Amino acid sequence: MRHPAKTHWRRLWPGRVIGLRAVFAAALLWILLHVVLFAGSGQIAPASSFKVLLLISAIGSIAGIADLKRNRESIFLQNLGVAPLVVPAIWVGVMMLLELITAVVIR
Amino acid sequence: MEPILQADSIGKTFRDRRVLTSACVSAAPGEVVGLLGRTGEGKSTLVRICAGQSRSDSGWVKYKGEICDPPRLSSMASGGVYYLPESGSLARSLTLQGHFDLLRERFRLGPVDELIDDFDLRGLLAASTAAMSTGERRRAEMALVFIGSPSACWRTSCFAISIPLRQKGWDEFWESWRRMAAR
Repeated sequence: MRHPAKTHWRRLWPGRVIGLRAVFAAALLWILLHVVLFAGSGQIAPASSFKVLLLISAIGSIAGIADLKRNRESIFLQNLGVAPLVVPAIWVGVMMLLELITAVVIR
Repeated sequence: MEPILQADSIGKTFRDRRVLTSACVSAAPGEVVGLLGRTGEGKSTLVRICAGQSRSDSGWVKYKGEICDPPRLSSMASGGVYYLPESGSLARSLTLQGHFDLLRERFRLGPVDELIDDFDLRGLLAASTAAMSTGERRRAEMALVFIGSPSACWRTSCFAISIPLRQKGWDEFWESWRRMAAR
């Protein structure tokens, strides 16, 4: 007999394989973004501003949705009881976290 | 018997084309319900709406007596619904073993060896689902439904299913669906 996912947090984590892949891919994209977009301005990590955070979260959510669609994970995740937007949310969360950590370390 | 899944007065319009006016469907526990009709009459649309993959213009969907407004597959799946769309439900990024592991972990299911053998999937466990043939993917999807042992399963285009190799024909195939529905 099937036991439904009882705890709420289970709906917010897509499992180790999909979740960790999203975390590493988001971190890689964040590094690439800094190398490509910001290295030209002479600094790898610019002081974070609201505009930079907005840009990072927009890019992260687009990349997360594209990743979800490319891997066709949406239906399987929903069948597991996980909301599909969790994957783009992980992308955005990781990228914003790295941005904030960088800003704190530089200051 | 109280229906486990129920949809009533469902209406849907795509631009200026009305596909569903006031569609109804319901299924009681242990029942296998099929929607038959000509192409373009809205069968798949109705199932997609019931599974939360499309918004209806009117009507309501109930699961286990509670109105889902709007129906969300992730919420219904936590309560025991499984949805198999025509386009497939397997994630390309996972192996078949990965699918089984996630499903077992999520719903705390027991061993699945017997069902893997029933569907003759042992040789495909390490394969990426992107490398499988359409028939193999259909078999794998069916095995996931049986392993997940859901309370209800929405399925579009059920005749696109290949019969598991170890089952002899349609009679046995439908019997296995009925057995699952009766669980």
